[in-house]
Amino acid sequence: MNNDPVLVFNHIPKCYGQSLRVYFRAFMATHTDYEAGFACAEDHRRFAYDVSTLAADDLLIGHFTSSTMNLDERYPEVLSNPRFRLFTFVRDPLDRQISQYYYSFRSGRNRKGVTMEEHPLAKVLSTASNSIAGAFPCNEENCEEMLSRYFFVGVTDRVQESMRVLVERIWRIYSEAPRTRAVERMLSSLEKVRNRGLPHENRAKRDTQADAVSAEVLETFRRNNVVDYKIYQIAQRRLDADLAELGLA
Amino acid sequence: MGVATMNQTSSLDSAREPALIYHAITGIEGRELTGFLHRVFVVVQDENYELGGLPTRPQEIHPIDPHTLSAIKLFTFRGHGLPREVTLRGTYPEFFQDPRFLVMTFIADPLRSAAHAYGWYAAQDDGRPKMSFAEFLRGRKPNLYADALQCRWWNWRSVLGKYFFLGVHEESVKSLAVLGPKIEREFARRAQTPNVARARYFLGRYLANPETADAEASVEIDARVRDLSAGEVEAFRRRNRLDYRIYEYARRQLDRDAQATAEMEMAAA
Repeated sequence: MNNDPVLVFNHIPKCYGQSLRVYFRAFMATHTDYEAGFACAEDHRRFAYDVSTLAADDLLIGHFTSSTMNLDERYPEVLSNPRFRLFTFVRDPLDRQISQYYYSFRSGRNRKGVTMEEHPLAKVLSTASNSIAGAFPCNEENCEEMLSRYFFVGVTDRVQESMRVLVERIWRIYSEAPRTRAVERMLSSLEKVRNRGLPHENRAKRDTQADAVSAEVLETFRRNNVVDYKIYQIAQRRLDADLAELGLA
Repeated sequence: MGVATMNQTSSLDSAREPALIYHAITGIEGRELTGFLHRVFVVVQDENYELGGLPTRPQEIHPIDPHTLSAIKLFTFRGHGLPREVTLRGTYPEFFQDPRFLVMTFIADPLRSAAHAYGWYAAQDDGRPKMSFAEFLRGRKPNLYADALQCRWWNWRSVLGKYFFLGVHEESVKSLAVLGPKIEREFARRAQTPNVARARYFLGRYLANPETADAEASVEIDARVRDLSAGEVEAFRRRNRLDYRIYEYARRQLDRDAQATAEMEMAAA
């Protein structure tokens, strides 16, 4: 039985996750667990990883966000066994939703075959409701408690600071762990990545719709996404506290 | 121990997950091979080549823990740019002793492998005048495969016999058409853990839609080799006789494996 610490990244869509995947792939075995790699959702459900075999140089990544992919159903061990260390990134809810919108139309049409003209951004913003909260999942009452399960919550809009804190936090986790070979490898790699530049993958092309969203639509969006804004603020505060604690401010 | 012996799995071994090791000795990646590896497995490398700062002394390397390899976690050992003493067999003797580990390698025509290495050398923007390919060949250390495999004239056959699979870069499509079913057969007779099931699932998806030949990548290499005189080619072959022996053995072994695969598929049909 392996007792190494293992990193688990809950990839909330359009929050810098693809870039992080590239970043970690340079020095870790990235166990990606996305439905997209499978023939169908049922296959994805059937073929989960055996997380008990993961070690310190493994990283489990997925959108553990949908009803079929919630961590407590797919990998309950990740939540119950303290050797698994969860982290995630969140983003300004409006920016995230706009980014999600353009990403969904990256090939001209979205998955339902609809064009941007048929499904404008303003309409999406008017109906979107707490997507980030849905990804954890949590609500206004328990979002603070839910976030506390994560050793780190990055803020995409502050990616440089977030990455400095993340690498430092990971460093501490491994430096406090029993020195297995995988832990030694990770510590050696972390020394090298500390000064490495950050990638930016998966950037979606945009038109001018985002610049022309009306004040009324923005107000509706804010009203309908109160929990997401609360999560975002908690993440900001945690990042500030982390920066201060680690002497990185 | 020959290849056939390696394929026999005791009941004790079947309780543990198989783990594949790719011993990359030619410097040639090949789109088909990397496509296969990444579509089916999570790949972990011996060193973080992208990060740079490779170890310059053997004691600076941080070996992986073989116990952490699994049916879905494939280990690639390159050893490129590492101290000469850092070898697969020296660092991980268990890979050749424990039948849980299935070590494979791909061999290329040594001259084409050298042409590939020359391409890398010629592309280095270090401000120094570049040798011609013929000069490069004359200055190149001979029998580099034998060095990487740690074998000599008296033991090369037994060393190669310990490999689960020998592929041939020039026949990568054929090699993968043999390798895929060979892994499937091996995994099918092991304990069906979640990782084995997942690897078999992705292997099945790969075999249903395999990578196709990467002809473009070999155009430059073909041209370099074609521009050599017959005398230069002959001199290179003479200096690298052991590597050619290894290469020819790998080709024959691939043919035998392909034949065995075809017979098994016919029997199954």
